[in-house]
Amino acid sequence: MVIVASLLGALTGIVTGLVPGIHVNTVTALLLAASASCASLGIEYSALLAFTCSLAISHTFFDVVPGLFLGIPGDETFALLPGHELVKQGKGNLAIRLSVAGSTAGLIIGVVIVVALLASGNVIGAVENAVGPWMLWILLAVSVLLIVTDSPRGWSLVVFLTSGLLGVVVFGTPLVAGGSDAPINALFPALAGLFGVAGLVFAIATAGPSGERPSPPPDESPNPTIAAVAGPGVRGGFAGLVVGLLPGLGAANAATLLLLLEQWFGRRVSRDDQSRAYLVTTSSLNTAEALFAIAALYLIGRSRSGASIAVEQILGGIVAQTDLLLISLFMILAGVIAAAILWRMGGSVSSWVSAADEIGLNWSVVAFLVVLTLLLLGLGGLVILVCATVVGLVPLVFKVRRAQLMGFFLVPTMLFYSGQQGRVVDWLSLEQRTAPLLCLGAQLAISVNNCPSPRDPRSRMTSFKRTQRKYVQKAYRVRNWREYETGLRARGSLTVWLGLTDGKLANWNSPRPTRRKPGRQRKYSNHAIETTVILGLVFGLASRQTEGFLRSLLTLLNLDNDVPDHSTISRRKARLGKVASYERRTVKPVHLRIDSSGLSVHVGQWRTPPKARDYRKLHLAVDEHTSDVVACELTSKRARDASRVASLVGQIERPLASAKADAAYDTGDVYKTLENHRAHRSPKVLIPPRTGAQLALDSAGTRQRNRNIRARSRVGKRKWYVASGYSRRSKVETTFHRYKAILGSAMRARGLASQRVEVRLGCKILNTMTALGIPDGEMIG
Amino acid sequence: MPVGNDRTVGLRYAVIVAVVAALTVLFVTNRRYVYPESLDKLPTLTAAHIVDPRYAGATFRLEGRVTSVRTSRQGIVFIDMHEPAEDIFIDVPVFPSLGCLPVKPARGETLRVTGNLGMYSGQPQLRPLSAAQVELASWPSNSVSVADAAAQVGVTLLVGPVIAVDAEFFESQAGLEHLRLTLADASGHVDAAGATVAGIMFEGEQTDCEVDRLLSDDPFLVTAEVELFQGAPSLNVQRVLPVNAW
Repeated sequence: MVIVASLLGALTGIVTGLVPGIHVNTVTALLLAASASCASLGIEYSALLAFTCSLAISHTFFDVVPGLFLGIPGDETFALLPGHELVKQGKGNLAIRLSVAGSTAGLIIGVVIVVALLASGNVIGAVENAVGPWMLWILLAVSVLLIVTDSPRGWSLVVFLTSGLLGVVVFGTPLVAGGSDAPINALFPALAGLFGVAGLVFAIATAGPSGERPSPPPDESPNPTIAAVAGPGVRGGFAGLVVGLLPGLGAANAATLLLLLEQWFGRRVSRDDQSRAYLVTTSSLNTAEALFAIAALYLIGRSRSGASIAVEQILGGIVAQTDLLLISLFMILAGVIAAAILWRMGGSVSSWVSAADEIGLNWSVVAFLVVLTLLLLGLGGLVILVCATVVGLVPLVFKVRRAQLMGFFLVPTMLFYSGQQGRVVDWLSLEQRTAPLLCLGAQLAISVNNCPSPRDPRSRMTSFKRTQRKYVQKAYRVRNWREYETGLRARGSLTVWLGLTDGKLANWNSPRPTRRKPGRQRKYSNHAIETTVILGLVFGLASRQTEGFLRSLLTLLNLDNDVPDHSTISRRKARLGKVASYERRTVKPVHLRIDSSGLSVHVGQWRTPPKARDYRKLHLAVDEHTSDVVACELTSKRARDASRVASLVGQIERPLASAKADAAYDTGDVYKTLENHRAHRSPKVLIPPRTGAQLALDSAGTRQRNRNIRARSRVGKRKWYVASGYSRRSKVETTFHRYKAILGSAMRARGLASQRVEVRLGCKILNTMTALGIPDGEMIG
Repeated sequence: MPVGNDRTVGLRYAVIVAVVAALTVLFVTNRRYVYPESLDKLPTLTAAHIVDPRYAGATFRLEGRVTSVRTSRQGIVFIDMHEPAEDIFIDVPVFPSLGCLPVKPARGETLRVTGNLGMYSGQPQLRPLSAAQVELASWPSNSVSVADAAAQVGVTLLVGPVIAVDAEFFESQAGLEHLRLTLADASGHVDAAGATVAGIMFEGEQTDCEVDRLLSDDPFLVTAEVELFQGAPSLNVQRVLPVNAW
């Protein structure tokens, strides 16, 4: 079904691309309206996804055709589309093939960039955070540049501001019920009017008598070479990335900017070459933008086009990495189909389109859009369509770039980023007033919502079965495999564990005491004992083996240091006291995860099973972001988990940003301890309330616990785990797994003091290995 | 001025007139729009509505206690509400496109919101239809004049309508920028004894909209705690409201 849907989407995209004035948004609006029926017919969400993505891509391959052949211009209004010049010269087929090559290049570059971004982690998110504060100035600079390079500048500014004013008014209009929350909202008639109907009406109004349109001569140009297409294609692909992810900007803006940049900085080329390069660039940009506008859902969590809004609704607002890969696959399939059809049948397509009754076709599309708007949005929608059409006529009549109409998005976006939108709309009395979307009386809109998306988290919540999810084996992929592999190798490096300085063991011998003490002077420093114990733990050696290993090692290294014997190691280990288990690498607040687990101990030969098995309790506090063990403690097995929190938190010098622990820690004292720790700001504490937990009177100490109790009772335990972020507590469970896998689940030391030193050194080893490199994994299925 | 041949010039004039008319129609429609009385009869949001996907995008009313309020750099006011009867926790984002809120909600107050139910990042949201649809449910019954307010030290009151006869920002010793005011009854005589009262609005209490409202010539209302400062009554202004908000 998915393949059929993808093919159907590609074919629909071909039709929408060939028919002037019909945009992808028109079809996606219809698709959303029909999605209720889709659900009842058993059509899966993946089929809808395949249809939408294929439609979006194949449309970009074909939408150049009507512009090239139907509106062969008789004046300079269309001089911005150099493809027309090729058609005028009788190179229509070449123009089509250049466009196909550009779109294909845009698609390939787009997919490569998306895969690279997925592999490199959240680069785009980081870039967006960095660019965010400068967004207003970036958009303002782009807008000013587009206006001052246009002619006449005055009318460019008027078009930009008028469309911006229209945008502000339309975004706040009560003419369409539900505002932007409605699936089919005021944007549909506004965009159809600005960019669709206006062009059609103008073409009808300015069309000459029948037969006046020149018919292009037969095209016998050679096919474009890869070298001619590669450069403009790559430029277009990267420009598509920028406009696909930035708010308010469209392909038209980017195409104009690219043209300007190429004119300013590019080498001087013939007008013919410039026309070809421009056609390839714009086609590549158009296709790449369509791809990135949908990829933005995953990369930055925002929708950037009509198709991406549809995809967001189909997926229930949650886009996973596998979804993005699936989307890319659908797009490649649609791109291959569209490219093959247009490349092979370009000549036929151009002749069909050229032969079409332009006026009749334009009238039909205008009528279709008007009827569709009336059906979907009523009279209010029609009013917006008419107003937008009128504004859309201005650049055509005054012969300025139609890209200035993007002020419709740019002005409200710049207002938003300026932080002064509230004041401006108050001053101009342009406050948003959304008409209510009543449950009865808006059947169509409601029927759209009647279809719960198969990926809707709410539909998942109601049909959630614990057993279905808990035991599913999840597949992971390591993103930093190279670094991790280097780290794994470094774990076996003796230089890491021996701490050699200039090829010598530093601080090996005990310093001379500053004052006299009874007894013999110590021969080895604490550092020497610590190093010896660490070597034994890392390489799994018993005390005597460690002694022999170190002795042979120092001999091989030609070092004359003495090596402590096994009894010295054992005796001195217990007196090492509180060795530092954690070396601070950052000053940022800690996102703490606390838990405990048992480590078995040797209890002597006189006990008989099962009493021969005994264990101590290891309490760990782990930083979620760095995976470092920031505090540890070893207690008897009878110690309650909650009672050790104060001791653990006391070892941490940094402030706490958040704390997560399991239900065993659900006590008032734990909350108070966490709240009072280095009271920089109250950390967010997430501890699942125990069964039957009761609300306490609101106070500083109970506020967070009350919040957790209410939230969990409201949405249920499982949902709360995911929604609150509590599920990330599993990091500490991973740390316990690492501890036991690397150092073993049993301790070697017999006495409690030695055991405490052993676990501290164990944690130090873990932290060292963490610093050397740990896997950065992501779930892939 | 449009130039060109007669046909083009005619078309250009027609388009200019049409654009002005179109924008005027849209603008007037927005301004004149009055919410129907049936808005009061809208269903109250329940936990069942949130879970049921059929109600996504539909309009509901909700009355609940404000648990937190914060404002983003772009001016979005995020209000977290709790409705005790159904034990619903929901976010109410007030976007700057709605204009300034007539009432600045504070933590612990009871708020009545009419808006569309939506989801964002898996969390339910109630997006207000307009700024006026975010209203205080627990509203003082009467406002008092400046003279009456000055006599009630230690009490938090709704005072007004008043105008600011003097207002200036000053920097405190702690480096904060507070607003010093002198308020007078909007209908009274400024020169009359007792008709003015000093006041202060601390940094952190002020929003841009409130400062604009305060510095305008139009009368407004304030909620303020009456305190004694250097032996004279002074209003610790917490909120500045338009007269029609009451």
